[in-house]
Amino acid sequence: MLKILIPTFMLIPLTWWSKNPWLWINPTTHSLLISIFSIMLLYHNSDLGYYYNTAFSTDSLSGPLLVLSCWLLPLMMMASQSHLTKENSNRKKTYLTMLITLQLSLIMAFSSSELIMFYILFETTLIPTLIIITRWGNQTERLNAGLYFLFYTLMGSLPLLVALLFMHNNLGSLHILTTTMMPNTLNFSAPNSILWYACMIAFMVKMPLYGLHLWLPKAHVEAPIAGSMVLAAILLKLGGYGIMRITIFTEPITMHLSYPFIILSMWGMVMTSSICLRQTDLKSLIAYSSVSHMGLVIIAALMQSTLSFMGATTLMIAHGLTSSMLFCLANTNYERIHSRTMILARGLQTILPLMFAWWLLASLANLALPPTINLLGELTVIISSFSWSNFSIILLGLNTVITALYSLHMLTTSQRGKFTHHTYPIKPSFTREHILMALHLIPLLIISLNPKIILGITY
Amino acid sequence: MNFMLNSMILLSIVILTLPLMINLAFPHKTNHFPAYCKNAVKLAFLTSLPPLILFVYADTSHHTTWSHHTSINTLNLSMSFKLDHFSIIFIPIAFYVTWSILEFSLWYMHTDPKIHQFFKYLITFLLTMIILVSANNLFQLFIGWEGVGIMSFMLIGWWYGRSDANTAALQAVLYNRIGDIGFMLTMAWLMINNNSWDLQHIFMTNMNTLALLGLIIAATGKSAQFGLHPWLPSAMEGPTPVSALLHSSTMVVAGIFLLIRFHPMMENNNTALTTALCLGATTTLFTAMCAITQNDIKKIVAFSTSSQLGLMMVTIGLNQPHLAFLHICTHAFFKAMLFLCSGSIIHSLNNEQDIRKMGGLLHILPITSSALMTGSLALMGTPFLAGFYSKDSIIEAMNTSYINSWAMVMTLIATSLTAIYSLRIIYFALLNQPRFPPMSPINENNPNLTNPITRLALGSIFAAFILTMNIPPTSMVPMTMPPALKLTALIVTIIGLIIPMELNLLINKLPTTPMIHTDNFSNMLGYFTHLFHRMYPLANLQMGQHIATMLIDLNWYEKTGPKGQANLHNTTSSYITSTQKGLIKTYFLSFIITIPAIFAMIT
Amino acid sequence: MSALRRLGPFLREGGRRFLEGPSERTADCGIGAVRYAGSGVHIQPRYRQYPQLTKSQVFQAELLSATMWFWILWRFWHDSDAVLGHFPYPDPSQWTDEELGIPPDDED
Repeated sequence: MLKILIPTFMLIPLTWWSKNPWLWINPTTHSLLISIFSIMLLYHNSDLGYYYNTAFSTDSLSGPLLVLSCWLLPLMMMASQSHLTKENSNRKKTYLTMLITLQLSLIMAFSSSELIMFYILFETTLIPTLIIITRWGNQTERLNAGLYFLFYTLMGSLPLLVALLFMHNNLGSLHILTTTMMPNTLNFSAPNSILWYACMIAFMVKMPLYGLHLWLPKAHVEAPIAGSMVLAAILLKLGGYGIMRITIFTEPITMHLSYPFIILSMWGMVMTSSICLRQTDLKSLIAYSSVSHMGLVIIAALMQSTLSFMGATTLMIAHGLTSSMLFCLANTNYERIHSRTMILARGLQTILPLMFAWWLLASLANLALPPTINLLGELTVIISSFSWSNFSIILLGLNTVITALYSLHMLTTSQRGKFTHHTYPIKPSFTREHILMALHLIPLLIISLNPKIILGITY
Repeated sequence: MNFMLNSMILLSIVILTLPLMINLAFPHKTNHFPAYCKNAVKLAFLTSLPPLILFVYADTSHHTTWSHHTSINTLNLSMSFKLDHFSIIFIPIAFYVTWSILEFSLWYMHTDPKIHQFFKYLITFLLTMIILVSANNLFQLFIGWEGVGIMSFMLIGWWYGRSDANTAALQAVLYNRIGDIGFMLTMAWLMINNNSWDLQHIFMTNMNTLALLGLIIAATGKSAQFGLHPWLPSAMEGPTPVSALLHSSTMVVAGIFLLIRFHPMMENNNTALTTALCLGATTTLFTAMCAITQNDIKKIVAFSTSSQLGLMMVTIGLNQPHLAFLHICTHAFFKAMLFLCSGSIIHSLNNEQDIRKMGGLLHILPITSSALMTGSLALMGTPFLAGFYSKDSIIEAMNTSYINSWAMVMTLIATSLTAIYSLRIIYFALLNQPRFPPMSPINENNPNLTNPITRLALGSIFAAFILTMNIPPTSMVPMTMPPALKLTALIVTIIGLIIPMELNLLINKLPTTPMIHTDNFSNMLGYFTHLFHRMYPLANLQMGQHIATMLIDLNWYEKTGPKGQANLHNTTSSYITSTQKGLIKTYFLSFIITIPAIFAMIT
Repeated sequence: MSALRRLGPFLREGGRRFLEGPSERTADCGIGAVRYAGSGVHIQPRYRQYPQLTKSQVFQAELLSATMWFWILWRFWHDSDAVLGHFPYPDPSQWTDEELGIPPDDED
């Protein structure tokens, strides 16, 4: 694990000692190298995963998420370049340092084999994210967004700390390897239910569950591009990852208590999707679509079947890449139109045809067109929830319809139609942007061809 | 022989991917690309003929698994092709029709600056269609299924500057997606109960009514059956070659094709069969009724497609999948040709689609007119043309079976309406005096126009005969019946020809057409779109805006959550601060009261 | 082997010609050129008169219709059963009691 952690840490001095012209290139290339090196984590020849030392371990659930977070760092750096052109070099370096710190804490969070350590790093990720949102956001609402972001997450996660300490007291250890082998049961009773809620609520806020999602659109909308990307791609996945990790400890009681959450997230998926239909703000639309997709992950993670865990893992990776790509695309529009309002960016296909291709592919991935990995994820979730209750297909099916509708609505509004006159003087698309989109899309294609590597722990 | 069969078919599919590869490798060499595409499809057609001949004479069928994709638990997903009766016959026909349509597009889309992209889309569409018909498992079928849906979105919205085209494209995807709920339902059901998506495995087991209804919903969406039909006429916003290829001959029959594929599961389930029958009968009558008062030539042909799809659905409900398949094949020829003819007319009259502004084209566009006549006659089921072999058999099978007589009557009425709207196109577009502007760029002397039309016309004359002569029907088709039943289809059609002629003569003498409710009903598409396209989106969008966003998100969640907390803390803290104002005297004064009180209590 | 190698250019050129097809006709008014229905005006437009049709056009159209009608009539001549029924349908009312095996009323 140190093979990845130390180079990532060394990116910080690399950033600070880089000369100005090399400021972007150095960290980007090196983080890309790190991410290529991290692909090794996908290889698992035993069911239990790798245990590097007492603190770090990876298995087939955390491996793909780790690779995803390593992969996202160079992409975030590439995406933020034009956002930071007007800043001076020290601020750029601070920004990069924040991204790298975030990366470090994410890597450690995903690879920690102890739940208390996971908790600490889970909270650590808040700090750089908060700084990125509140310092480099575009509007004054960013402060409010930061407040929402911090308070929702903190309020949710404090009970988790108490619960974890309590369980540590009872079990003697919260090491994932040992606890999977220990027969621990949490039977259905009132105090145990409180314990279960305490364990879950942090991750539910992080995912976010419908009803606890208010921080997410605000944070996504106000964050600079790298913040939006990392929030959508990885930070939300901490929630799903956490649920799948912590339900090992709460075995039988989850069955009883998950019903309202599953129903709520199914309902919430439909509601958030219909909110998407009415969004005028491009980034807000993508943010709400994230809420809707994460609803599926919550359903799958609470369903607790082998199939649903596969679906949850697959969907997390797929959604990570897709939503991050959509945010990048929204950002390219924003840098040209200087507004997130969709109606101001019409008919861009005429001016930026290659960008249209990226938009099309991203929207198709978002609505889960068959060969893509998103479909495999959604389909497995739909199947497992269908076996849970036949009626769930109504809400989930409705959601697929609305998802298709708003994805294509987004595509149609921003790319098709006649272009407006204020879009005449816009910049052409840059090679950097095309590379950025391609680097999002290529992994999606690769895992669509071979989904085995990200099917998770139950595969 | 088997080796030959599958290798040739797969070779033809590979040939189809060649233009796409070439375009990837040399994206700037676009000058000859359209012609290149056309010839590749032609080559693919020629390559797919030997397997067809092999199939006819050796009756070989085959399924082949290429590569193992992934397996989830015990479910194997692999790339496998099923080359049986249906796919081996349909693939050459699809190639033949596409070849003609691509050649036509060379003429029709000539001035389009992105013509190479158009051809690329068409080829991609054809590829997904072939994936759909040759898939051996449901996952692969779903890839093709969604692929054709998305390509239809792209192609309907080809002229993306027009908001109508964009809306129509979105509408097509929306209706298809509603159908996909059914598809996903069936996939989920099969996964849970059969644990397999392989067609062979599925056919060895049973499916219950729910799963079959899922398939019927899927077919309803894709094949524009009643309830989910409005997208098909709207799809006419796309270029005419797209209408000819996607919305008449290939993509829209995918739903019927799915039901034909799953017929072994359906044939013993009476609920599913009756559902299909009644759905089909409703569709065929309703859309035929809509067709008779339309004035847009493409819309008439579109509604007639929808009506024929309803007839195919009826055939599924009759338990005659092979007849339905035969109708798919024959329908592909003449319907594609009717679209090409209308494309030729539209282009010649400077993009005029209204049949009231045509007339007299018989003398001006002779080849188109001949083809249009042939196509219309074939569509009506004139003996020994393409439509006859399938349509007449379907109606005979219906007459001699013990089915719902309501559905039978509906279908017969729709059959006679077929004659009416076909006659209407001929009467208004081809006969009488011209009603178009005097300087129209009329010209049909381009071989890229006449060759495909002639080719498809020959197809609609001979193809059905060749097909029926060579491929024995594998399901029971009744051959014996009283002359009255035997002649029903023909008589109904002739009645459908005579009545509108008489009515037309009658109406010509009337001063003006009064507003009639029936006419409005038919012209306004049964008010269906007016009701459903306004009420539901309005309700949904208002729910999205008022309930989801404003009421729940911004009021309940925000007010009770963060803002409620902030308010609560603000008010309480302001209350507390108001008591603590540093008034030392008052505080000490309060001690004077409390201290003696405490002392009093203690002592 | 060398003879085979010499075939290479022929194959390549032939393949290219086949795949590109007879597009030279249409290539002259390349993409972007203005064109009104068909490549160039073949027939001089005439004001308020039917355009003069080319002979081949008329011939093709007549041929197409003739083929259709010939086919219909020819098949009808040879295969009229397909339309009118394959054999006279038996009329049940003509069946006698002996044929149906019904014993006469005055039996027993």
